[in-house]
Amino acid sequence: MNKGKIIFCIALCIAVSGCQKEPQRIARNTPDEPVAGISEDAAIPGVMKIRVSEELAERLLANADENGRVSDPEAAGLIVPGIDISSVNTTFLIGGRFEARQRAAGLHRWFTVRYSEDVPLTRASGDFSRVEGIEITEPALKIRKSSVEMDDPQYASQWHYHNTGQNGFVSGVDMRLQEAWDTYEVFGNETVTVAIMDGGVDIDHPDLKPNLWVNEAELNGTPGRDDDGNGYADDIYGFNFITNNADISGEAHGTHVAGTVAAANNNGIGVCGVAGGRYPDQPGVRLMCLQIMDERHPDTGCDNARFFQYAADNGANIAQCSWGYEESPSQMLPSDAAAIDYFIDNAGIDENGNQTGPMRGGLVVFAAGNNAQNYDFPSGYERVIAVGAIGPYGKAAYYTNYGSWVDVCAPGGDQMSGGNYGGVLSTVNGGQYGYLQGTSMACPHVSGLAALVLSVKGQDGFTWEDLFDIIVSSTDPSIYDYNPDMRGQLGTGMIDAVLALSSISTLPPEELSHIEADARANNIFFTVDVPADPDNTTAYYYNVYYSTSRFDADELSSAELYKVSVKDTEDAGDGLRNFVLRGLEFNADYYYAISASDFAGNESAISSVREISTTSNSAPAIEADTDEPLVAKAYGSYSKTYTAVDPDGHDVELSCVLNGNSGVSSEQLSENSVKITVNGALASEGIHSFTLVAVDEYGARTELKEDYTVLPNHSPELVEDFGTVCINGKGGTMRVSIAEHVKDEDGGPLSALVSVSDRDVVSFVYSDQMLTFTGKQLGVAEVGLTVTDAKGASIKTSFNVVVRDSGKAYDLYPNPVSDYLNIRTPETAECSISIYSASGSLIYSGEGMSSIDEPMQVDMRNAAPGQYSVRLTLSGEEYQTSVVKL
Amino acid sequence: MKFIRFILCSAVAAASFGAATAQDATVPAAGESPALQFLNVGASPRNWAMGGVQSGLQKNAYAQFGSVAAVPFCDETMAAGASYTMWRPASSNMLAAGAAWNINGTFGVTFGVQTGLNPAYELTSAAGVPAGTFSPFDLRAGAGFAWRVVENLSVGVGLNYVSSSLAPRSETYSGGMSSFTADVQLMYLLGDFDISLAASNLGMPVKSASGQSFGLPMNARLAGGYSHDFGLHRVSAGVEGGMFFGAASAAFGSVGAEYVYNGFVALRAGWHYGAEGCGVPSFASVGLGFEFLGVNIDAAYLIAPADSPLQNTLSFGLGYSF
Repeated sequence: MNKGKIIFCIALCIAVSGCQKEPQRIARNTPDEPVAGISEDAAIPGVMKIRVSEELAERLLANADENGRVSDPEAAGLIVPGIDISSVNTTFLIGGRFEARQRAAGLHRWFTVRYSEDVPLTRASGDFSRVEGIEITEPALKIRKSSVEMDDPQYASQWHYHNTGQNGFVSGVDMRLQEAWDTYEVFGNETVTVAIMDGGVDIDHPDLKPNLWVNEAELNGTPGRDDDGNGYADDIYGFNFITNNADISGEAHGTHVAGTVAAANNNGIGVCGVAGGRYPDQPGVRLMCLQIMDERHPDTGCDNARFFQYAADNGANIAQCSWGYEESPSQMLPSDAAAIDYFIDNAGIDENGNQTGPMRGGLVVFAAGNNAQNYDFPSGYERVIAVGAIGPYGKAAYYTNYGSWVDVCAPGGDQMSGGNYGGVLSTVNGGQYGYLQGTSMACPHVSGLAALVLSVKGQDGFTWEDLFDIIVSSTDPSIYDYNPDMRGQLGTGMIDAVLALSSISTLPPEELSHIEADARANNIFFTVDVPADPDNTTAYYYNVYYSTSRFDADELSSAELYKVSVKDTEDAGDGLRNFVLRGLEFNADYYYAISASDFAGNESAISSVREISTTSNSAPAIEADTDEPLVAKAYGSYSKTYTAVDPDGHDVELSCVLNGNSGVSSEQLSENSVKITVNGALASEGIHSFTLVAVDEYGARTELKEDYTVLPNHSPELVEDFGTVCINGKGGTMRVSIAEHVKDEDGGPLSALVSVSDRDVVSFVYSDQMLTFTGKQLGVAEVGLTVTDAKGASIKTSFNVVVRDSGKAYDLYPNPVSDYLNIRTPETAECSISIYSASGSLIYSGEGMSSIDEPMQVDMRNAAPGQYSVRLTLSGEEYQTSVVKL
Repeated sequence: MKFIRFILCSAVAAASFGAATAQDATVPAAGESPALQFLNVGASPRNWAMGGVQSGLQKNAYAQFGSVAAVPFCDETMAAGASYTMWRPASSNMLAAGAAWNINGTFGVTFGVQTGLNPAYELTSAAGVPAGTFSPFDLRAGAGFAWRVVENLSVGVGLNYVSSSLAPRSETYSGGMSSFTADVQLMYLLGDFDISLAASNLGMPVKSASGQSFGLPMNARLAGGYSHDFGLHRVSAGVEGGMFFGAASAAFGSVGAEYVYNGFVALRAGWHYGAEGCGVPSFASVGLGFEFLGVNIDAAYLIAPADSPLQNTLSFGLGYSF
């Protein structure tokens, strides 16, 4: 250690001792001295706390308003040469019914002075010290979080405590244990005992042994004898209720659960437990090992009443229950209820009804079960905390039970989505470590958190209900952002160690520095900042005191209180939040003041009382999702959505009167939103109307008459002639799509009525606007087709279906021909044709493509009547025939 | 020779008018053609063997079909014959019979009949479905008269009845079509030479089933002939040029020659030019004839390009004259 460091440590020691006992000594600095060993970086620039003489304090207080702001410090006599003072406030809130004791404690003599940040701390300290009437100067120090590091080598893999995105998981999906340790430096202590009611715990596991509950009487007693007279012999670490002796057989499940609750922390081996202490100086909570399942006796039941009774009578405060029945009963079994009730009502209380431990009564924590079903007992018992499981990506684990009866959720792992490392890492038997998943793994996170809280909150009068409320109400509901379809099915949210431990806070948040208010109708819309909390992170609640009568900030008994948690307010950007105070009187003058408080209830200084006037009620407005008119074709659904919006922020209901029209319907999307749908097929042509009615919660009403148009129906239209359908031989088929030939401008389904003139020639099947013809014999048949739309308009047409001789290479038709000669081939073929007159003259020669449905054609209208010989070449094969022109 | 050159040039010039007119339609159209084209098919094997020359030669039993005016100039009093022509084999069989009577070297009377026995074709409906078969039948029959107006000039007229049965009788087709045609000819004799000017197949148009009128294969011809005996040898030659009119316009021309030994054996050869789209297309021909005691047997064979429908056409004839 060099000389500089020695000087720094000496200075720091002086500073610490001085802050606690004699602050004036360390604050009295000469101009050239550093300020009590505090570096410039450690202090808030431009801020100095001073303690002044009684006389100067009175002059300053005389110029201070109710919030302690001194309006003219120079006039009051506070002048610091060389320092341009920008503001002076009382450091403490002075006034109210406790003013006497505030003054007795000297709080009224402390002021916080703000000046230019450019002035160095050393110089400012010296300048302030030289002013008459200033007794002590003290820089305002920056508050920082202490970062707790555990040396357990596998802690980094315990994403369930501190999810940093390891293994690709979603960062922040955890119980915020690391942040809680950092913020509160609470790690559990020996005053709290958690009964591990499970399979056997490996009592020789090096990571558990330091935190095992030890029955000293039995440890130091005679083997085989009930030395403490509790009815159980040799129960040093607990008892095996299967074998009914003290032989606790270490198993993976029980050991894993125990490790999550309180594996020894910072002991250089293995993993961390939630409340495992911080070795070597801070032991964790105690683990009482109550074996209620034994793999050596798999089918042996257990007397539930006994182990809950044992836990209650032997000092356990929390019952950790990661178990359930192989087949859950549909309701709570009375004996289970009696056993659990006994623990809840009697743990921590002696036979005389006196509290003996940190909590009056016991807290029971149950795993919700792994059957992905919406009921389970005993976890569904209302007096216990039921715990659902979350995977490393924030999604509910695939196995977790769910339902409104689940109280909270916690990391339980999901190895289906996250692989092996997606499970919870903890101790297992044989001194080993392993990953497991299940609500069994989620449950001990809650038990451990409850043990942590109880470690610091435990005191006379602290009850199991208090602990229950803290755990259940301190959760993070944002877990539902990952599980929007399970809202309300996973309890109040993911357990939050930071928020739960904030219940131990003793310092209030800072005063609100930004308050905006806007009154509309009988609502007041607030925009406020989120004050920092010296021993938490930020404020947790806003408290709005309001009244129609003027009141004093020091006397709030006449004011109403509206309390809203910060997390329930809207983000307004720039660190501000929005919330609304509703349900006030219309057209009234209101007075209000706002404070902030933390989760523990510590309340900040209240703002000044301000005045605002509410206004009259305004009628809601009705808005449509589009400016386009609602126009429906003769077929199809056409919709328009209307939403009622209240300019005052009131709840508003929107309804629709359809005026008896057919083919139109309204769907209530929400209280203030209606979707109007016109079914063109059912509605009649013309212009119709409906009426929308919006009414706010105070009766203000708006009506809107809206027209909609149903366009006339169009008949189906033949857009392409069917021509002649040709089938290649008996048994051949040909498919004809009606949709390709007939269109309906209005859309919608078309039905078809089909008739065939000669069913000996061709048969047909009609399906889904597709006609499939099958040839039965050579010949031609006329097909009559009537196509009808949804509203009954139809079109009729007909066409021929020909069954040709499949043995012929071509068809030359008609013969005799009077106009167009067709050359049809069963397959698509290149066709070359020459036509000669009776005298041998060539009247036509050409080439083209021919197929069964697109024959090659020759216009013979200019050819004179007579017989012609035809020379035909199809795909290189030559044929000769004759044709007659009439 | 100047005369022959004139006739050929006239024929070629006439052919230049024979270009087909285009059809303004998406479907390719067959060209215009005259009706009853079997009228272009001659009946005489001798004529076929000599390139199809018709109107410039004498002594022909089939004078009714193109050479009526030549009859008064013939040496024989009577000539008669019958022929069979495998016209475009597999397409048609033409049977013909004719007779010519020279009355005192002043008048001539001719008779003739010609039929086309066509093979059956397959009837198909408008949808391409077979509906049986039918054999078309063509007929031309008539008589002619010639008058030797002066010593070296004669005029002849032939009248024919023509008909064609193409399909079975139906609602749209009466079962056949028919017409009357006339042939007119002037012939001038100058020593061993003769000159003929003729118009053939003159007649009214016929109508198709759709009511459209189509003209007959009318044509006009100018022909010249030469014949001379050199002892036992006789040499005859003819040239002819003409042009179709009325329906399609197209020129044609023929030239042919015959060598007869001792009035017993005849060797013949000829060449015919015909426009591709009208009349009889081009071919070359050879022929052989025998005559004994007034009875003559003739044969002709048409030599045509490989893609010509006339390839392998044969004609036979049997006649008698005195």
